[in-house]
Amino acid sequence: MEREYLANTILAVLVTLSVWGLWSVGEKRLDAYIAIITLDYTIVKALLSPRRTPFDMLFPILLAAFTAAIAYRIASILGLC
Amino acid sequence: MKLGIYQLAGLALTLASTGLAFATYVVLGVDPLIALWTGLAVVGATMALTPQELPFNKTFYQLVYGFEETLASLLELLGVHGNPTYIPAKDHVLVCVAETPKNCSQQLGLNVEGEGITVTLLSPFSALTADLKPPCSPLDHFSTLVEELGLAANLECVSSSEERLKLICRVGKPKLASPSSMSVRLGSIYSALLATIAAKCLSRPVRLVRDELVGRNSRIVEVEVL
Repeated sequence: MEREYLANTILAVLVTLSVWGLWSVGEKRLDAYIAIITLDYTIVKALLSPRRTPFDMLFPILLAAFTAAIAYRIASILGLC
Repeated sequence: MKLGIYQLAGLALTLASTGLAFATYVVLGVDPLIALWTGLAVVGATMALTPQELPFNKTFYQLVYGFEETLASLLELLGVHGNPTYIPAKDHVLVCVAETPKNCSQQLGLNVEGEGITVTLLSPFSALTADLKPPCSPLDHFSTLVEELGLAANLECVSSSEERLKLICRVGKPKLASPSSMSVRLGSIYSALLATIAAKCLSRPVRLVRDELVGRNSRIVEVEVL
């Protein structure tokens, strides 16, 4: 059980540092923030494997948001939107 | 589903962050501030999805301890020796105490056959394995149960299959003690739980091989699949 609390604490620290870091370099694109938050979550999940009840529904949501953000960025580079 | 304070705090954080993200979007449009709220919403959601720790029920375990002590005294009185063998039987798991596993009978009660006496009982943890559908992973289920019931601070399990499949676990800082006479005859609560789950998951008899305290803070349990 302690592993879950440790994972949550590390995630909170990572998310705070990532958002603060990107903000301090003047990053304005929202998709960059979403990508880095998803990366933080994935790292914590891979390293500590915290249990979630009833299941880890957050991971597919973050992955979908990440995919959508990347798709949007590619589409904007290609001039599709 | 009943939520604890930690889970409720997570839910509140998620809802508040989502509301703030929406308000920021309405007032400022797409702004990096939304990312901050998104990050907080993610942290809140992880808190809300964290499994709730069950309170350690001391009275219940005192009752289990008393029952075990009585059972151990009964076995001692009957003069039954040998390592216990856990046998899967339809919906239940039985525990048989006999000098050799071959003498074990699936008939509940006291069996006197030939030279020795064997005792077959319903495993005390048989009801806990009612929902398990074989084949399943005994070590995963054992770890989950120990963690959910808060029976130990930590648990390390390995399986080895040299001659026969063996499941070995080191229970770190076990919260439950077993009567010493019980540990000798039926094993501790930990080995009984592991053997019951293994017998049900693997649908094969499982024999207790080793169950001993190592140092002051650890217990090693080892079962063998027959």
